[in-house]
Amino acid sequence: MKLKYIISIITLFLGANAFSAEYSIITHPSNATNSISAADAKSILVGALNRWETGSAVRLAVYKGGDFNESVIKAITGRSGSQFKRAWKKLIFTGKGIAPREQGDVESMVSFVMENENSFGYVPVGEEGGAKVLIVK
Amino acid sequence: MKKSAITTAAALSVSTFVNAIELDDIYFSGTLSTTVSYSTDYAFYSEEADSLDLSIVEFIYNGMYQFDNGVQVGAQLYAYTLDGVSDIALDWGGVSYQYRPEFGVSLGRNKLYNGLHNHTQDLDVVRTFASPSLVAYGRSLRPITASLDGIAIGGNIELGALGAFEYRLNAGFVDSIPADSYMILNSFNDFTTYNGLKNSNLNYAAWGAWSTPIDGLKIGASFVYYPDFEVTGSLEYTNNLTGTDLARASDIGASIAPILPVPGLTGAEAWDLALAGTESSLYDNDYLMYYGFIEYVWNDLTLSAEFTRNEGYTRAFIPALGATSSDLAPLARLHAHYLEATYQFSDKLSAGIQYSEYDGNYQTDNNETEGFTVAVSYWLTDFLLLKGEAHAMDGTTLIGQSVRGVDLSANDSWEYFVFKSTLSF
Repeated sequence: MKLKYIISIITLFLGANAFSAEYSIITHPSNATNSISAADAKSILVGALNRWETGSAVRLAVYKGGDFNESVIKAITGRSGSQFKRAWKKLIFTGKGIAPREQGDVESMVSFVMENENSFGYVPVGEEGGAKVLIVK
Repeated sequence: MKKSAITTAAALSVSTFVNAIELDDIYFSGTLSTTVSYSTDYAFYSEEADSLDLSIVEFIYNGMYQFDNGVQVGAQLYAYTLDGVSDIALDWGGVSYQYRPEFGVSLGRNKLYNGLHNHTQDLDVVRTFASPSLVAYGRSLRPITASLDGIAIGGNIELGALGAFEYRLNAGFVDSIPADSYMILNSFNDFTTYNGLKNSNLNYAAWGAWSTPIDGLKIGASFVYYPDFEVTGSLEYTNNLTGTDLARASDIGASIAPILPVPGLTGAEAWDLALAGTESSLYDNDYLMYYGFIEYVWNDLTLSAEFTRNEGYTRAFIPALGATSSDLAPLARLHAHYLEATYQFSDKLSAGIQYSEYDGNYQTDNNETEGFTVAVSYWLTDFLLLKGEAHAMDGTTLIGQSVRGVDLSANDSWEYFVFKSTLSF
């Protein structure tokens, strides 16, 4: 019991995120891509890959913040929200990347994805709207 | 037009990455930083001793556009005021294409990767400290260390169980550096009239970082080689050549006066003469810079250590005297290292500590400077970042990077404090 208590305290101290969301990676229905590797999904989110397999430029959208965003970013990239933002600032100010389009909520994320054929976004499972869900290999 | 206005308003309202403005898919981002400093005993990077001074103002602004095929074009300006010197320069600009994560290419003016922080040395928004460690990233050399005009290739190669390897290779040229630049004013103080640096040869840089299988642990190294930096200028004259200098003048038929011996820059066996009053090529210098670094990120804690070594070699190159070359002689041998820890308490608040050692000439043991730094940074709003730093220094060698004519033999303890605000837009 005491050990369990100590582990809980340590976990809390380390900032482990108790929020673990199930998410779908989404794109526009007309995007020819149907699946994506976990490595490529990570590369797109961290700015190392900016094109789909078809050759078209990726239009990346992320959320401003929040538990869901933090959880998905951590799950895909292994980075915390602040590490993720800092890494993108480095890319933007060294000429290596264009800022992701930030969305305020799931509704605006889906709207953005539905308006951009080459979009890349993520939403909670079941809230994809009419967007295409990419299968992560 | 209407669409542009709507897009701009929307982008302004959503982006907290850099508060970028989107205008017809062109992204504009910028920062404005102001540094106020106080030094107890010595003038250092523009602030006067024992007074609170506005010491540095920096402005960065960039614009980028991505075509549908992934090609990106863009440019960034960097402007500053420091120690009475103001300048505006193209920081980077050109065309880039990342074919795969493993390989991309950039043409134009490309940021130079060196060590952990050289390519982000001006970016206040990505670090806790007001600047990267000054022992490893001296501001005076920025005109040659910030970027190269040419080609850069790079990418990130996944190595499976062995982690990943990120690399960057640069080849290119450095802009001519005018006599009134901060670098010239603070690096070459033996000359009375000095006309600048010219580098017409290709320079090379290689940078690599291995993300090890231990999550968060990165190890890397880099070097930059600048061959044949031509130093030009016209020198004050004197007629008091003696000894070896007089003999060398005789050897090359330069018996005409006036001739100035240039102390300090060359060894005893190197040419150290130049005609006075006439603009001439004077020296041909080679520079090498090495970095080694290790970084460990564990949740919100980042530990890093880095060492650097800068070496310079010089040979006389004075066509006016008929002296075209001589053996390379050591010019500068600098060594520095530091240990650093930062902790991100929240999205807004972070703090850091740093211990550093700087040696202006690693072949001697009598001119080292030690420093201990405590720093705090806080995002007051999404647009405004505030930082405060306290430095406890032991030794004065580092001051030589920033101010001319300082007695560097003193081994005093002294302190300086830095307050910086950065507005991003």
